[in-house]
Amino acid sequence: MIHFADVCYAYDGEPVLRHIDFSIAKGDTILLRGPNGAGKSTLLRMLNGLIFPERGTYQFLGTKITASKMRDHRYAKWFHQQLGFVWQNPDTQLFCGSVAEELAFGPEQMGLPAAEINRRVEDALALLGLGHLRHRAPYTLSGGEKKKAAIAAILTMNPHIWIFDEPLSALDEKGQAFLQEFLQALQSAGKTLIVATHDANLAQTLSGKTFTLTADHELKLQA
Amino acid sequence: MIKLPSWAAQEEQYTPKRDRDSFISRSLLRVLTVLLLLRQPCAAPHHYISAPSALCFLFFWLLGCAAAHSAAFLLCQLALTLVVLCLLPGHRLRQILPTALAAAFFSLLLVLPAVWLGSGLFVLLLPAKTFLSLAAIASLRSFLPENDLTASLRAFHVPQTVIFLLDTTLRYIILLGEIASDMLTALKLRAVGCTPHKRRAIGGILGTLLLRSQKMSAGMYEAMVCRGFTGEYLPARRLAFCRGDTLLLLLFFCYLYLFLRLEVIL
Amino acid sequence: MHIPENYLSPSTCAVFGAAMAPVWWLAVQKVKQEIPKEKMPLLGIGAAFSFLGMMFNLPLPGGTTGHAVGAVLLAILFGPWSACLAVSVALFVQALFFGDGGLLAFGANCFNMAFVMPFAGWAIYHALKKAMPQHDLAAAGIGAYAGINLAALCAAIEFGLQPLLFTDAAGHALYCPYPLSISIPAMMAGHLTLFGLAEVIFTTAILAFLKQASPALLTAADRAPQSSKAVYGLLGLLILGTPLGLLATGTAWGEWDPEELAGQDFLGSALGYTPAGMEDGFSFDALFPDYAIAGLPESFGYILSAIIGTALLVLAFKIFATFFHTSTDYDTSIAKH
Repeated sequence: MIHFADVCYAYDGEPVLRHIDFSIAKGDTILLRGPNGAGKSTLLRMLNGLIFPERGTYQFLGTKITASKMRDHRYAKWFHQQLGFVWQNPDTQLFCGSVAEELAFGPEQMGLPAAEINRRVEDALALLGLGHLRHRAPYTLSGGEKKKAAIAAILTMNPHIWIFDEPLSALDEKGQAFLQEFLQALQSAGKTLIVATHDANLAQTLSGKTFTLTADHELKLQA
Repeated sequence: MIKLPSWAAQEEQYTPKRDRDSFISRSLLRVLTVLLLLRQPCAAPHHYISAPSALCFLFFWLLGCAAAHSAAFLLCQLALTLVVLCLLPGHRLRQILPTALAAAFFSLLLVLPAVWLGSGLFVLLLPAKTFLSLAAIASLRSFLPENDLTASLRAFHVPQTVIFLLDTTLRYIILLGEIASDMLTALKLRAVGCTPHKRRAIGGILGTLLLRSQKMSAGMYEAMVCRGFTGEYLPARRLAFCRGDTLLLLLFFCYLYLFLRLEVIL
Repeated sequence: MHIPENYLSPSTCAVFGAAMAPVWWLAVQKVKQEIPKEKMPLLGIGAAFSFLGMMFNLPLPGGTTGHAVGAVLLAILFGPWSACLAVSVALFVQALFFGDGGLLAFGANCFNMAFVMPFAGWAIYHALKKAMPQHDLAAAGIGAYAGINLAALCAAIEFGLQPLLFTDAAGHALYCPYPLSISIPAMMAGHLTLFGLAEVIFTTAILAFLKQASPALLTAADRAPQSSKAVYGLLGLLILGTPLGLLATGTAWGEWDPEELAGQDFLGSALGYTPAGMEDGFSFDALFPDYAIAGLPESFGYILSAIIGTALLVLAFKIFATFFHTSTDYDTSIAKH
């Protein structure tokens, strides 16, 4: 469903991605690895339709993702609903007055009926063990709780593709174990996962393809 | 083993409603990315002019700009401003000019009623003054690194507390710009429909930004204490007279003459 | 040669505007393809040269004045499409800020000075250069001479057609009152002699200077050289010299104010009336009409206008350059450097 053909990207004439070619099918799990500065974040931003290839094409379900396509608000909104992006720093994602509001933001945007929103919020709170925090301001939570709140807020939107940037960073062992299980649950539910990580353990618990971005900004595929 | 709720296991069938609400992607993003503008570091720290003399000149320049009550002196200022802008790289110009022009446009809107009420065309100088002042400040910022500017304040015997405050504020504006941009992007990615509570979203972002900056500043102060900060700030720096200062002095007298000629003795 | 407001009928202006629109569009595309990003600010400097050249008014006995345009020089330096764009922008700055050339007549002025002149001059220069490769400067001079005269001829024809096409019931012209039989000789007399010569000198002198001072500028290399100090020095000198243009006191042929026009006697006796289309035509107050700034000595205003105009042009092209894509080399490995 995601197809990159000869994608190149540069910041101020400095290449960050060079001739990237890959395809991701529905239900795939992709681990994106590579040293710092190899272009992982850039690739994630491109996948999310925030920046666009300078050369080559990025196709999403057969549609070319370009700046002009994303100016079509209806398409852009649908596209962003399809992809859920969990930022490395959960602070970036949380801005509502309470955890419950935070979780309701996505479904409210989508215009779901109130009962459905309520159901999703409750389910997500229960699933991630945030029930007791529902009225707290996300800002006052601990690092691990914030991460969970951020994930829960994406979950209520129910995207088909989940993109994680360093999901295990800033989590304690218990949190890491929980997150790995959660990722497996998404995997078995048939979601498409793209996980940028430095963590070697994650590669073992999640079976999937590994893409490695080299320091030379090229992509290597491993089965 | 975690089991996803039934709705999460299914595939979401979502068609965005036809709505013309481009609130988040347009207005909010645009307004707040002004913060990002400030983030731009100076192009290349040339040391053609020393910071204290540049600051003195800027002070005189802004004073002259504010005090002028004829178009002639402002035109003279415009000439130098444009020449200085020519020395800046194109991408920097694309940041400075729209900002300065937008500000001038706003002040034009503000003074238009005054013109209409008959206070004369004099007030129309205000937008021009806004543009000139902003362009002057922005170009100075592009030529001198920030720490040079704050350091030069010491030469004018500004209390250290003030310098510290100014320096950290400037540093934070940079960081805040980055954080704000990330938060807005995150919001944009999650804004997949119409936003029912626009004010709440803005308030949330701004509030979180404030809280985070407060936390950051506390963290930074603690880190500075750990590195041995005792309240004494900035070791005195050598304030050398640069080659460009002579040119600045020359320009100063040139514009002083023009100011006297055009504004005082008429 | 700057046709002022209301000397041409609005319909004539519309025709020329419509004719220039595709030319401008094509010029932008061509410049995007042909001129490397780094060379764009240089193009701005070129436009500034043309702008300054047009400020040097030369007097001719009989009270009219004229000036060099420099479009052929730009065509030789950067190619005709770039010259077209650069002169157009210079004319725009003149019309908008300095009231030199009408805003409605902008299309017609561009047609003469930014389209006919650079393309014709450039074609002649190239043909001659092929025929006699060692006389580069001579070819440039002849190209420049031919270019400015063709442009003047076009302007004269545009002027001269007005009384044939637009008159009121009393037989009075609505716009420019002089027919072809007067406008062509009047315009050409100046341009075939003094102004043509000025254009030749302007073009060849600057070309010769650049050959000496900054030969890299002339080679059509794809990497632009650093615009040398010599070029900036020359620009500064021209700016300081602009008040010389004030020595010419008269008004250029066909650029009189409506009131001034009534006193002109090219039809044998004084015209005696102001054409109706001019009296209640479109009027636009430029920021500094006639390069003068109220409250300042004329020469100072002239220098100030020159500085402002030059800087505006350089700024415009610098900003234009940022809209280009930087060509990035994706094929060489960075790690192997």
